Amino acid sequence: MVRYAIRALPWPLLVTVATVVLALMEVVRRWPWTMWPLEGCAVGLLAAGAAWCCDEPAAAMVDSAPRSMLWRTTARLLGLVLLLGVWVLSVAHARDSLFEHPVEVALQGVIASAAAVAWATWRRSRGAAKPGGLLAAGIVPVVTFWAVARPIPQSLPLFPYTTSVELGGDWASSLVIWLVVAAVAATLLIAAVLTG
Amino acid sequence: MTTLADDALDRTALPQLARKEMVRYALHPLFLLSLVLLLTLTTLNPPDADSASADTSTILFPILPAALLGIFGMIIMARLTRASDRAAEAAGTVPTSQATRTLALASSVVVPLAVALLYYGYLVWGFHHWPPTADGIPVAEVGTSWVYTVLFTQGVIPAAGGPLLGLVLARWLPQRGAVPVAAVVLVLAVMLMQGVFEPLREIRLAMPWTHFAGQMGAEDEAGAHMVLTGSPYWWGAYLVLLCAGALVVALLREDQQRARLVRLLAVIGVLAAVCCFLAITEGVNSTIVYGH
Repeated sequence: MVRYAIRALPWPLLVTVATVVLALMEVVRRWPWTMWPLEGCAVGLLAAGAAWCCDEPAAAMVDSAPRSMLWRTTARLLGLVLLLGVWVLSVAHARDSLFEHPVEVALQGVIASAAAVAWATWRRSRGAAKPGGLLAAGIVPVVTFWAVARPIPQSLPLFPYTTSVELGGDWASSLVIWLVVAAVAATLLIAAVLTG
Repeated sequence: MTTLADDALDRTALPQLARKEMVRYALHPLFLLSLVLLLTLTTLNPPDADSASADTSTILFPILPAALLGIFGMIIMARLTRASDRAAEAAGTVPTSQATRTLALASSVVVPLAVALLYYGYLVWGFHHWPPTADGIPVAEVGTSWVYTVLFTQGVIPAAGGPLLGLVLARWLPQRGAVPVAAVVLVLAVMLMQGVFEPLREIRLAMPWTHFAGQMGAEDEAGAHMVLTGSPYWWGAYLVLLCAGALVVALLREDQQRARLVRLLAVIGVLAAVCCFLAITEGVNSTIVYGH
């Protein structure tokens, strides 16, 4: 399984993503009040990285091999382990700058990545060879825009900021949104495993 | 080496290809999504007296088209370029050169540019309809033309610049994921150089996007509202030259006329450096702190 993962995953891309995520969170750690939007950018990039893990450029050949998609998806999770390891470490390192909510911040990255994997796996189970690339091309601009422009922070607090609700720090509502995302992701993943 | 017949074919093919690329750009799901977001968020957040933008009117609004048409445009253009290359590869020998296809792809920036121009019209109208509050941005000091230029340079030029950067990256970095990662790195650089940090305020104008006014939250002046130094006029010229340079760099991928393109790129580079220098040294010469 490890040998398959070493050959199948886009390691240079994953290492680049991990490095950029580390850089983004280090900037957030140093200047949380002014650079907070980069936290959301890091979450978006992490999810994109997770989606890229699921791409299977040789799907036409591999899908007819004896190994099941479940086995191959499980092997591919090694890339996700790297990304989430880096994410959790960077959040732990920046915990004093995360407005007393390091656990919620860590959860954002974990749930976003899990949702990306769930959607890509579900699309793989429906025959798409490289759904991760398509998903990443959508996730990165949308999440980056949402994190930077924070258009409706009171109504949709995806990436809450500060400890004050008036300033957009509605962490409780944000957690509910992320838990809904997690539930949808779990449903998709179960559907993918059952059909794949 | 190209023949006269090839050149003639390229000349006749370019307008047709350009039209096709424009339609593909206009119908791309990410572009349609960016339009929906732009319309919805503009309707939801007018800079009226009750809003947080009452002291700056529409001056901080260009971040919407810059991100929605610029950053989205980077990804859209990269995907269109890859699709064009895949189609050419699948067809085997294609009658048009890569340079012609690159020019056709570049032509499609008129689509986001047209939207950005319409939005610019809204921003100018909005600036007069919801003028800044009395303790807001000091328009009398900086001038209305400064406002118009800031709105244009921050909101319209990135709508072309983003897609052209996507074209360059797709041509030179065909690796999977390169463009989305580059988009995030660009946002990181722009965030650091947006004018928040005092030591970086002058050189911030070397970036393709930065602020000229707003709440700058550096530690020693937390939350101060200010107009930053620099000339948006020269900065606009610098950005236009960056766009021209990006197109030349994208065309450089093909060997045809490389020497001529390198000379053209050198000229554009020198002019861009001069404009950037003038953007830093001219215009508002010291930071203006206002209101609050």
